[in-house]
Amino acid sequence: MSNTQSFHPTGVHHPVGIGLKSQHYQEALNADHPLAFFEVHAENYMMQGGNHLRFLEAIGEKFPLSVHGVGMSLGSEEGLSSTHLKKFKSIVDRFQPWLISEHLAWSVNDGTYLNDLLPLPLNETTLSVVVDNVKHMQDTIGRRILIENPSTYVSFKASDIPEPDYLNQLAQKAGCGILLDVNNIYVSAKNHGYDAQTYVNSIEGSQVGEIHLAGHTVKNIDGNELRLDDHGSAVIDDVWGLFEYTVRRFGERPTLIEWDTNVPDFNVLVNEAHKAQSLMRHALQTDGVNHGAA
Amino acid sequence: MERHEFKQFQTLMTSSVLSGSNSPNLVQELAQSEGVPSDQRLNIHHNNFRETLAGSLSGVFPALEAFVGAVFVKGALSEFCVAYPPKDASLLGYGSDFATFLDNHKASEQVPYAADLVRLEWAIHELQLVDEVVATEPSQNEWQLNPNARVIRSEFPLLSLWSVANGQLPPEAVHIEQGGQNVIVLLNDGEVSLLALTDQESHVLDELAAQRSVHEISSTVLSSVSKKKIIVPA
Repeated sequence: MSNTQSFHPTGVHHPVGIGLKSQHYQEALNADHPLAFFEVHAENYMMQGGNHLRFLEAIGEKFPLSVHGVGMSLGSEEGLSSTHLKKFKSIVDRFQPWLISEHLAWSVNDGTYLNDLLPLPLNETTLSVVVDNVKHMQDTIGRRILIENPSTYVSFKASDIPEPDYLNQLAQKAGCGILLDVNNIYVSAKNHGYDAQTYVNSIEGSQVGEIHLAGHTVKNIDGNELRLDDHGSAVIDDVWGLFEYTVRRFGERPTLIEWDTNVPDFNVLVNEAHKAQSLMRHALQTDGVNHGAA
Repeated sequence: MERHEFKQFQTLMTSSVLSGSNSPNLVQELAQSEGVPSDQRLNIHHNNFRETLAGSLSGVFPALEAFVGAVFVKGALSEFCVAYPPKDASLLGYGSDFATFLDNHKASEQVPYAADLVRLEWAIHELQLVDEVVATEPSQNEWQLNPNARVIRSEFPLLSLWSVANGQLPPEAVHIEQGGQNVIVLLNDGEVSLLALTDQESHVLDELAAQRSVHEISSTVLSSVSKKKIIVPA
């Protein structure tokens, strides 16, 4: 299976892409933009035919694709759905994506799909389940995958492994990589009261194959603040700062702008991508950059 | 945490997400948090479940929305998501039961044609996601319903109602007492079109569904017409 080096597209510097939305198909195809790749949710293309598949094929001929799963439920005790795995493999076989990723989360129990990225207690028992499920997925699709850190709102008494250590161990035991969602780190850090940079420092940088950036919302509940990962607005300054810190620490990584609700014009997403490229360039030009090392 | 305890935790959490009600056994699993209490934090997942699922179906039923309004549709979809949670992580087929849900939905009783309108809109949505089957010449004069077609039978003037919702007919041109319409939704060369079926066309489809041969169908039709003495032996 591929290693971290293969996560860098040949000849592309500061590789920044955006999440592909159906309302932007035509603009994505026009190719007069600086985007290095497009990411799609695998589940949105598990149909038999129609225009969505035709557009994705056309876009995939011009740009590298990243396939991001949201429904594999790698944290399910009951294991993976063979039906869903088969559909996922079909997408991988058909589009031969450059990157493939999923989440450290669960969403299926007793055959019911809960349509959310639900949190796991982080301990040896759940780690063993996730490792088995990731191996099962990688073996089935024949590709190495990246696992994304989640945004979380609750934590559990049964958790005894810090999340960065959990991801590092998962990567080491399952042979997968890490998709570091910088916005998720920030959201969870705020919600649980820990330091976001300390989290980044604890991640094994050589395992990081992609970075995600997105906006989030701040909810006020009875005078208390909670941050919700809704991908419905621009990336906030604090998250840009954490992104620059991450790039400075780990070096250049494929980076994605996610915007899934209240989707704006294509140009707004391109401008966010421009900003990510510019910050990546700036971070890498700064003295003391520790390229690719953790 | 043992493996069976992990399974039990996921079952408790599933119940919380589906119902919005947190069992004491689940709440005691939560670590204490500063600020927003832990059990309130759990409710985020219930809200996410309802809102994102309902959101995934918004836009699929514009004709229904034209008649009953966006708030009503959103509310009904939200109830539907809890009553019929998805079984598949790909939500492309999710919503096929919405019409069945509306058949028994108390708040929709004032809109008796709502479920059939949803059946029609679901057929349009569904056909946009299928691989169009290329028709072949029938062998031995055998016929079947076009696999690129869906038939919606209604005791309401369904196509006319749909046309009102789309602004193609003025509202005063349609009365729900005027009788039913059977509608065929047809995918042809990538385009979906709607046609009202005549009684005769509906009859032929019924006979084909009952596995009758072309000879039997024509015999039945001839017999029916001859009984009414519309035709006589030459």
